[in-house]
Amino acid sequence: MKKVIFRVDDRLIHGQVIEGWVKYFKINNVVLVSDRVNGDPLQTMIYSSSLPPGTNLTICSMAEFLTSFNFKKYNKDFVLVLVESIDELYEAKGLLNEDVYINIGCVACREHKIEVSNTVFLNPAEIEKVCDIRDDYEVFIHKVPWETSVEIRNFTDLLEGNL
Amino acid sequence: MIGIILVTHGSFGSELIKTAEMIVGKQEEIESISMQEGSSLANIADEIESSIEKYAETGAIVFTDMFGGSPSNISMAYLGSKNVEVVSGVNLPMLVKAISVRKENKSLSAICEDCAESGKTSIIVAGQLLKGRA
Repeated sequence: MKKVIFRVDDRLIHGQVIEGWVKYFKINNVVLVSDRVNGDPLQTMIYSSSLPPGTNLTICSMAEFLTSFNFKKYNKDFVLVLVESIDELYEAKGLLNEDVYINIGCVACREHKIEVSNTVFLNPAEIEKVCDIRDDYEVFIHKVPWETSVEIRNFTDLLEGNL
Repeated sequence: MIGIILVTHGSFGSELIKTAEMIVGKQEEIESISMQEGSSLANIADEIESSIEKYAETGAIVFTDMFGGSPSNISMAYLGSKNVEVVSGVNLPMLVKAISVRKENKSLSAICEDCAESGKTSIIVAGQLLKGRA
């Protein structure tokens, strides 16, 4: 597994992330990028207390993340970056590179959604953005490490809601 | 009476209520909110909010299955509401305790402490009991 993981998950830190990613890969560094959580003391407390002891959590706004995120700081240690939406992943596109594992984990069902997997539901605009990222990098739908990941290859199929 | 709301992954909450009712009989003012794969957090939050509102006067305990999981994270956002407490790690002895102790004239926080204690002390590694006897 690549050491830098960017995950889209609208539940941010939850069971799949803790029991799956964090414990499975013994990830010591989690960066939660969310303007919503960053400005909210209660949400900050909730997410800060939910990770296993010893895991370093950084909560920051998207603006801070875009200007200050530095891969080298983690010195080949695992770092899991969590964003809530495809739009935010797209906003951070400039930080992506070949060493980043791009993971779409959980995007809940909403109106006018297309079911991409049992936990990922996207609208056509989001799919366009994923396709745009996919032009440069591999993108995986991957809920938890022990389940098979699905690499998004066929854009036309994806837009039609099939994988 | 203080309301009991279970917010859990899958149908654990509704099944746990049914199971508890096998022991203590049919209950009022107890309900479950089930979070399925693909459920929207906003919808679950709306469900929790409307359940909590029903018990605005009497108070409510929100039981969740796992600290750190989404059901728990969403529920904890209502800690600021009046008369609401969240207890994670719900199990059958804890729920049975809640059902009985909410009838007593105790504060919400005291009831929650009783529930947490009951949930914890019910966990026994049976082999250890035998070792104690030897």
